[in-house]
Amino acid sequence: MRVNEELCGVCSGCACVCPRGAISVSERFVVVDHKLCNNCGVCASVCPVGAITVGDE
Amino acid sequence: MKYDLVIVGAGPGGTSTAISALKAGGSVIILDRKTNVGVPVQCGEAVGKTGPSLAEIDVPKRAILNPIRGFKIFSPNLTPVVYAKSEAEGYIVDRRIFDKELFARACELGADAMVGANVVDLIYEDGKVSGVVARYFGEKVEVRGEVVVGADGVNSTVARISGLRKFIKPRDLDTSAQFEMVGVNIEDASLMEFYLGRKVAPRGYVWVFPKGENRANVGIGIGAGMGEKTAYAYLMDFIKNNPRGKEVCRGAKPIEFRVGAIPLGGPNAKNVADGLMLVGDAAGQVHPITGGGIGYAMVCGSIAGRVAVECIEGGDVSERALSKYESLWREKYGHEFSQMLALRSLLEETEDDVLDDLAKILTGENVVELTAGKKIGVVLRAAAKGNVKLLRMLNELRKLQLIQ
Ligand SMILES: Cc1cc2nc3c(=O)[nH]c(=O)nc-3n(C[C@H](O)[C@H](O)[C@H](O)COP(=O)(O)OP(=O)(O)OC[C@H]3O[C@@H](n4cnc5c(N)ncnc54)[C@H](O)[C@@H]3O)c2cc1C
Ligand code: SF4
Ligand code: SF4
Repeated sequence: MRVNEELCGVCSGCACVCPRGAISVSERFVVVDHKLCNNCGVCASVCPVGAITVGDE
Repeated sequence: MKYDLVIVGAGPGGTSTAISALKAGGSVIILDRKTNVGVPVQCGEAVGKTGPSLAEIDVPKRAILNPIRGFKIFSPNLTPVVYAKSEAEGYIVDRRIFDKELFARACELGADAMVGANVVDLIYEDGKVSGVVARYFGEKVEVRGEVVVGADGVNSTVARISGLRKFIKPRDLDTSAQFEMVGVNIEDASLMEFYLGRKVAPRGYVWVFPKGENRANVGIGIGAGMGEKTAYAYLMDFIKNNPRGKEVCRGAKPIEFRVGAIPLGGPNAKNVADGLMLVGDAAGQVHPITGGGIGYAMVCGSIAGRVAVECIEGGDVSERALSKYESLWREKYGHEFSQMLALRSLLEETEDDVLDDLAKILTGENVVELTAGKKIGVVLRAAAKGNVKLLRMLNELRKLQLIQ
């Protein structure tokens, strides 16, 4: 999955729901551990601004 | 140096824990990953109307923007249910000032503070939590204490690492977007407005919380993954197309935009472990319907601080000893939370036309009672008369012991 940093407002919603703990949040941005992420897409359904894309597009 | 309490998070939960622990004679350090506590604001900024009353929480005076004496709830077809008292029962506050004042208060009472300290791990000794590891201005530091308190909010690192809450099911999360606006056309600035309906806000609501005569927080929370579009898109739809929303927001200018996540699936099964306690959003102490959590975080935090110091003085910070906190806070709010979870499920199933019919017969007092888990009067069932769908809904309420 990828986060569009221009849209992301760091609400941390995606990190809360990620079943694999792949997303960590700092004061200003989110960081995805691509080794842990399996592109399940759960995080994308949660994002209030549609900043997350899953897959290869 | 080793502290009695190491508190992670300087929100209302963490600072309330600190203040009560300090008053009980404990030593405290508060760590927050923010360098500017309270910013950005991720909150509707309403206190006093959900859960603990104004009398139970010590609201910093400087943070009060606007007294609130009630609310108007609009059903999907915009039937209003109004509740208005003569006196203020709540406030819209400035959360930046609110959180910062509580933080300052804790530090004035003797708490040490580390801002910009991002807690990334827990330290375990003999199976008991005995401190935290934080990234702090490019360095890794360890801070030790008798009890670690996770008051680190919805995305709690402490809850995740301790295993008390590994992740939140999307269904148990509300996702939110909010504008602060000026030039809002507010009828009565002492009333909050709520808008319900599947098309308006699936499993959630739109709010207009007045901060003054023509300034307001206009926001939305929806069940995560429950809508056809993003929370932001629903909010824009309300502002541009809702018959009432577009009047309220006509010509209004956004001066701030925020996003947020609210854990409203109810409290975690367990919020204590050996040497560890969870408080506030980290513990899931949030009203499952309104999403209000400031008051609960403050009251539960106060209990946690007191119990922690008691346990440290007694030389026993095991899960068993600390569970006194769990029983005390559940005694206060456990029943309310479980009833509101059930009511939330019922509302999720309820169709818009039933909500419209319900709005015609409910009074504002009824809504206040319902959302506090109290039984409402029997007259309602008479009022529902031949309306089968509505009677079915009222029957469900009776099963939840929310109606006589
Ligand atoms: C959009 C929105 C609107 C809301 N509206 C209302 C409302 O109108 N009224 C109401 O009562 N409630 C409202 N709530 C809920 C309310 O904001 C929370 O319940 C409340 O802030 C919980 O307080 P807390 O102290 O538990 O957590 P928070 O206030 O979230 O504080 C947690 C703190 O921990 C820090 N932290 C997090 N992780 C770490 C880490 N790893 N290391 C160090 N520090 C960390 C954060 O920086 C933060 O300062 C709303 C929530 C949202 C998202
Ligand atoms: S796609 Fe799934 S695994 Fe990857 S970050 Fe999102 S929720 Fe986690
Ligand atoms: S859910 Fe969206 S806005 Fe929130 S932190 Fe994740 S990417 Fe950013």
